[in-house]
Amino acid sequence: MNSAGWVVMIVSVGSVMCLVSYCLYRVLTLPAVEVHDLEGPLTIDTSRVATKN
Amino acid sequence: MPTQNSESRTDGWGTRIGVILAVAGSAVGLGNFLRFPGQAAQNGGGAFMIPYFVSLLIIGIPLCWAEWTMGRYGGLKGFNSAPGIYSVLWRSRLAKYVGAVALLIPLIIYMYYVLIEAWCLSYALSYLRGSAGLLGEQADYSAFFGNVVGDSEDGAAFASDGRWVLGVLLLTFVLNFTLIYRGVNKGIETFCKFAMPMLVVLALIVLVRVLTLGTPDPAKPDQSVLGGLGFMWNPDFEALKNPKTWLAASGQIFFSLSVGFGIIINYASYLKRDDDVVLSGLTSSSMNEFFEVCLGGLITLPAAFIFLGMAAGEQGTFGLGFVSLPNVFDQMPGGRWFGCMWFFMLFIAAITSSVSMLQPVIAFLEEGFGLKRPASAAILGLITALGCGFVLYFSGELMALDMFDFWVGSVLLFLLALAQSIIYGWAFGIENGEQEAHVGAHMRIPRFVQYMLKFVVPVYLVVIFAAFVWQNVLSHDPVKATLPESMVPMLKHDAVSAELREMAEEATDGDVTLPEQSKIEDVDRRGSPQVWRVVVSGEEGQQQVLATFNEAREGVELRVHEAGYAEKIAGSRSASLSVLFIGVVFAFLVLLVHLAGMQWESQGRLRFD
Repeated sequence: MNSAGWVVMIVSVGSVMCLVSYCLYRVLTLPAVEVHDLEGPLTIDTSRVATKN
Repeated sequence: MPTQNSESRTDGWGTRIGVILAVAGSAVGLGNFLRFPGQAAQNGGGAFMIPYFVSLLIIGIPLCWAEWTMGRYGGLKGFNSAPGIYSVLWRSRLAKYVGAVALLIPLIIYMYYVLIEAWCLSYALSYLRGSAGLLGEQADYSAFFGNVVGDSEDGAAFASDGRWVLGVLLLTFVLNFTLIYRGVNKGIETFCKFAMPMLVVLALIVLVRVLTLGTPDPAKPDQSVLGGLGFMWNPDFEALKNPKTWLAASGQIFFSLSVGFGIIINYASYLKRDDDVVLSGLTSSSMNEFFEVCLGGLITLPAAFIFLGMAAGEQGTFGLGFVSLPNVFDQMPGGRWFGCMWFFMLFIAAITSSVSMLQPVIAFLEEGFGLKRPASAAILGLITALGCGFVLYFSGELMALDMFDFWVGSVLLFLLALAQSIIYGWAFGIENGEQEAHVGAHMRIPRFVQYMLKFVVPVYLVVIFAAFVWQNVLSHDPVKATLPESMVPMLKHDAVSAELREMAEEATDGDVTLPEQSKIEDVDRRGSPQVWRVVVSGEEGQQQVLATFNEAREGVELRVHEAGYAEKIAGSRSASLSVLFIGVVFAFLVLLVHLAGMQWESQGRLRFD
């Protein structure tokens, strides 16, 4: 294996390793997903009911 | 205008890493370990990595982001299948028919991919049993492969020798459908969360074994670990001047990342509104690159070179994976166990991909016709079993598999990716796309990527596609040697003489061998230069052209006839039947998509102003 081969291999493998490590670090250190489905609406619009009354 | 119906969502991803592993699992397959190293070695070694990374940045990652974005958008509008998703992105009744192609691709690919998956498991089990066909002095790797795949003639896979592979195929089929039956979360996600780490561990064990082989045969000092790595990575920068290198690199990125498969768009449709697509898309792409460059690039060809020398680079994907590597394992200390591990690893890589191919069609049957999972899985099981049986029966020269792989797994893949880039860039619009992609995103996509998706990616894909068609669909007659004019009398006979056969073989260093039964035909071109064809009769009576001798200024050019896929259809019954089969399945899907579209419109789920 010649020196150019070493350089290409190290740069290629190194770049991919850095990218995948960075991405996995970012993904795994994110806060847990919130359960939006369980959240109810903050306010209830009662204007139509009020008008009728 | 399409309307929203997100209340009906019943399935979805459980965790962020789960969907990333599932998408990466869908992309990681045999191509990462077998196709990539072969392509690199044949196209400049380490120099191949330059066009490879350029293609990754220009088409690979941007198209992945576009698919993730479109999929989540469609899912929020109440659709998980491509016909529905395309209809909400491109407000036209025609959009759903483009979606039929996105159903056809994974469906047809599954029909032959599950077979390759069964071969991998068959090999792993054979190593476990210590099969004499793979290990020891009586090992005959080509014969073993032929026995497993039944490529000698149509129907050979059903012969008694290959019948045990049918049992393995049935097992593989059942495993796939069990996973798909359990759904996105409990089936695919749970399996990928376990399978992907296992894949890394198995690959790392084999990698350590390969990198510690040293120089197994002291009589051949060049065939060492460093020699093997050099064979794969030493750059030949001259190859960069050859357009074929750039085409091969673009094609590898394209096929490897599974863009244009119709799978990412389906998987992403199960995401919630605030789930990230940008970081997730980049992470799944980078995981695929890890398997391809860091594992595939360091294991397969170096291992093959250490034991087989330069011959390692001359094999195709199947030859390298199922003939050369068994030879390597047979010569390697502990090869039986490493062979078992390697093929089991390929099986795991394949099953994470094949299970993803079923999900888009299951999703369509469920949301298009309101079917429950048992009914949709049963219908899909029947269709895929029919297709798999077709590929299995027409196993002579693996013709049906080759046709399915080429016309659907390559040509349609290009066309769908092109259609998707146009839908994203021109129908949905890059403004909407950018806004949609950044909802819940944990990193930003640079602005220029949107312009690339609108202008550069479609043009790039058209150029690659045109070159791909020219190279593969059309037949070619490249010049292999120029012979002296004095040999012309040898061509003025019906039969090919022994002298002519020898001359052709010598002049081309063994590249051209003319069989004894071949005949010479004088092609009447009404004047000079004169052309003679060497033909041989095929099994169904068709004449197959092997080579041509063309009169030229400096002698007689010997050209080898390389039949393109268009000529293959005309020249082979199984090839034409395969294309017909694809056409029938496509027509059936178009009909289903049409009916589903009418139902969606009548239900008010889709409205067009």
